[in-house]
Amino acid sequence: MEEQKNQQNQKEEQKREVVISAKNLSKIFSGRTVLKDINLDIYKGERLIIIGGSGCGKSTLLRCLINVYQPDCGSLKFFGTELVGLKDEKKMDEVRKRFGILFQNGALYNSLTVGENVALPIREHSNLAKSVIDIMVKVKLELVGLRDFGHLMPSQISGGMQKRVALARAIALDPEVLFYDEPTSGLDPIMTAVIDELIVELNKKMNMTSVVITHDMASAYRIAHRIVMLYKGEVIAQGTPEEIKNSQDKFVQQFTQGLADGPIPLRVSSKDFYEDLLEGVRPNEIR
Amino acid sequence: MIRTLGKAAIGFLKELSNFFYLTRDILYWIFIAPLKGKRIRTESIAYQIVRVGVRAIPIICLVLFLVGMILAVAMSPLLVRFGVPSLIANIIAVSVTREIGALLTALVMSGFAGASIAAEIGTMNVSEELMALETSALNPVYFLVVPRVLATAIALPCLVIISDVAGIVGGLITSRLLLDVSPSLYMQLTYESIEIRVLVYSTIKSVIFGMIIASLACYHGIKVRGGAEGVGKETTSSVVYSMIFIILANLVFSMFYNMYLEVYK
Ligand SMILES: Nc1ncnc2c1ncn2[C@@H]1O[C@H](COP(=O)(O)OP(=O)(O)OP(=O)(O)O)[C@@H](O)[C@H]1O
Ligand SMILES: [Mg+2]
Repeated sequence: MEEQKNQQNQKEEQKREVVISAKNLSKIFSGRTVLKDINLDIYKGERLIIIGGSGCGKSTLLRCLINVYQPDCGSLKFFGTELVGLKDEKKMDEVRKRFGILFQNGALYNSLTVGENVALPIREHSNLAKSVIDIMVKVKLELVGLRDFGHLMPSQISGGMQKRVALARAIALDPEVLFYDEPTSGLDPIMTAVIDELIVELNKKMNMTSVVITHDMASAYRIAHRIVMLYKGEVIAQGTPEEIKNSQDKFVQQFTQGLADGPIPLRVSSKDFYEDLLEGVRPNEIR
Repeated sequence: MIRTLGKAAIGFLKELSNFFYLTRDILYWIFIAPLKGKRIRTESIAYQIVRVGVRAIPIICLVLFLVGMILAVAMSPLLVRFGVPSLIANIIAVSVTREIGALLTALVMSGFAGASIAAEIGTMNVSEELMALETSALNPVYFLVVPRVLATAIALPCLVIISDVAGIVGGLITSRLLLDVSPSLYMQLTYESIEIRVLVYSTIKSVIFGMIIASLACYHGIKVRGGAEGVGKETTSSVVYSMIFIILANLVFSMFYNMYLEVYK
């Protein structure tokens, strides 16, 4: 019975269209390997969650997937178009119009008001009348609960609100693929639930493929169709929320259950630490 | 030693080629894209003209007015000795309209407009706004750089005309006080020694200066890496480089003038 289900699932997966396909993606920053041999297929209409500790390369992976960073090796296909080494700006722009991004720090345009931030992509990529755009902006802001804040500048609203504005801007053009870099960090629990719900809703109603980076396991389980875990720039586990929850892998367990002790060395082993501290100190200097 | 020199040379060539690419993009968006139906962002240009140009008027008037006075003070003993005090009007008119007005205005503007543009774009870079623009298929060169370059290129010649007037007025007041040259005589001589040719030359020159200032500022803003410190560093470089390039360009321009335009050869 179980097996049959699994096979069915696999068949379904094969049928589904691959939106983004990364093969052997690596990224090196000044000699340090930040991403190593990432193989990842993202299917149309799925909600993929990427989890992993701070500094493990999640944002870097996202930036590679949207082609802001050129990976050092590997290939990256977006709806079948190879993006690595793509020089044609026009083609690239066509691809860019099909996805939306919520950056980790919001990245709002500080010289524009909240409303103008959301309106800018619509205004530039369509010929709609101003009154229509105003309505669209209101709708998007209402979705994130900020309809009354359209006239304020980004510096006049809180960090969590900025993040929600950034989300409204990311969905302004109803993209096919939406990347979220920690959409709920810095939000209160209620707002977190609202945004999680919004992510699910956007995905269901508009069939928006969603790639969500998060630290928050509760959110991850709530949203995910599939979870991928990164550790030190490598994919160490992937599967359905159930599979991740019941994983026997020590690394995965430590992360999902939030344990301080485990194989992931958060507190550096004391021997290293003392050696590091005393490096370059001559014994006779210590009294 | 050779290795470090080689590294420096390669770094310099890289910078040069990056700047070349930016310049090429700017020229594309100014001259070719409008032909393909891409709108020129007039409202953005107007806003930038006010920001970089109009607000600079007081400081530029002050600087040129004082420089006009300095020129008059410095020349007056010599002119008195040769018995031609009224020649002061010709000297100031020619030197200010031909070189000093444009040069000093451009130098002041590389501090006034250049630094502000570099810091602004650098800050946008640090807060990932440039990345956000690019990933929404909005070209930062088209959106941010071109309006600033055009605005500075339009504002600078206007500022130079104003600065010429300020310099001449400075000279007029000083020569009235020191040399007892009557204002009407001074204005008469000034009028006679200003040539259309010189004004055209100085206008073209200042358009180029404006483009140098803004494109270098944008280049350094885009180049910023690593937080507020990076912004400060690149802002300084932007001012330093634009001063150097403006002075070099001015030297080339004035040699060109002497070769092809000078009538008193
Ligand atoms: N532009 C860059 N230049 C050099 N190193 C970088 C750059 N961007 C990221 N890194 C390095 O890559 C590693 C991964 O960074 P990344 O931002 O992807 O982490 P992250 O998983 O998103 O962490 P967090 O959860 O804290 O956001 C870090 O160690 C960082 O130092
Ligand atoms: Mg991150």
